[in-house]
Amino acid sequence: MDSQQSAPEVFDQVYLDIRARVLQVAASLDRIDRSEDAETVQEDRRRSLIQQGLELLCRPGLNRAEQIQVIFSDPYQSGWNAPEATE
Amino acid sequence: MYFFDPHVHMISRVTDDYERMARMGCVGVSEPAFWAGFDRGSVDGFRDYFRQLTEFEPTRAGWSGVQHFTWLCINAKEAENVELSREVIAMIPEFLGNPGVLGIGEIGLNKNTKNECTIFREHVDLAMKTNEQILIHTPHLDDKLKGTRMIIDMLLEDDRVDPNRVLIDHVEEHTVGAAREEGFWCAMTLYPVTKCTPSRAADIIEMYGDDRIMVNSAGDWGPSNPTAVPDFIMEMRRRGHSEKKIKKIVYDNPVEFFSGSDRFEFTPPDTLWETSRAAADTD
Ligand SMILES: [Zn+2]
Repeated sequence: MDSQQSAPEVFDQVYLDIRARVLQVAASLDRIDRSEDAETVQEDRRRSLIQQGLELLCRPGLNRAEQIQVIFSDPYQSGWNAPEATE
Repeated sequence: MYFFDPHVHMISRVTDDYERMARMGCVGVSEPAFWAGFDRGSVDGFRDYFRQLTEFEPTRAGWSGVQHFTWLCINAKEAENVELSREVIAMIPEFLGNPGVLGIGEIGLNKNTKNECTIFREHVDLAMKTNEQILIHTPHLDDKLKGTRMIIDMLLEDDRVDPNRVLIDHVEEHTVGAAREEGFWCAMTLYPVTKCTPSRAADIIEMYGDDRIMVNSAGDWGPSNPTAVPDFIMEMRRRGHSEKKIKKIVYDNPVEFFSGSDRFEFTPPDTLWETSRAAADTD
């Protein structure tokens, strides 16, 4: 890990940015929920991806960004190109 | 600081962009062939595009003192038309001898379809037969992880491919590891909303190191920012990284990778004036 700054220094630098982004997410979710047909969105697969992402943010860990990327990714099957593999 | 933008679609940008990039320290760009926003109708459409990339664009870049290099292919979006793709692949060698052509690219996958895979493999075959380097486009958003892994699988199928001569572009947190493990070069694209931000690119550098990696703007006709590389430089400085380390990512690494092509005749900026004088004297 090649960071030149201590965690408190980094936190000072990013605090307002994180605060602003958390607020923006909160406001966007509120906006969905106060609009007509809010229930429909609850059924939307993408809404559940967002939910999974938010839950992941609350867990400890060093690779949350990578894990959130994986939540938003199509599944990959290794061996898809093996000679005997069909579509 | 001098920098290279190793992936930028300058024909979609205005001359003022070259000028602004040059003022910020840009000394070279490499421009992969890509999608024009519509599917081209014939092989002649591509021939004219390749002429623009290899003839006029280096001249226009030169007006601002920027050296221009290019990569040729039919992009993944148009690869759904297999017949046209094959005509284009057969025509590419007409241009491979031209100065400034660095190889085949940006080839790759877009929706991870069977036709895209067919044409990807045929491009790789062309590159191997003509001893060219390869620049690879990986899909965006949900398709990226699967598409990047499929691309790596296809490259590993072909034992003629030397990973040291292949650059996998648009890597992010979930794909950078796989590309580097297999020994490929990689690049991060700084693009509003859909790709990497300067801050996340700096995070990836801090986690994975600065070897065999570079950053680009992938500026094109869509919402994009041709001066994104300087934004990355500023982010790295704010974090206290050394000028040497930053230069390695934005200048040394692209120059090292591109040097794998015989047609990378790059004049380093410190000798640019002397070189142009010498050329003028011999005219
Ligand atoms: Zn591109």
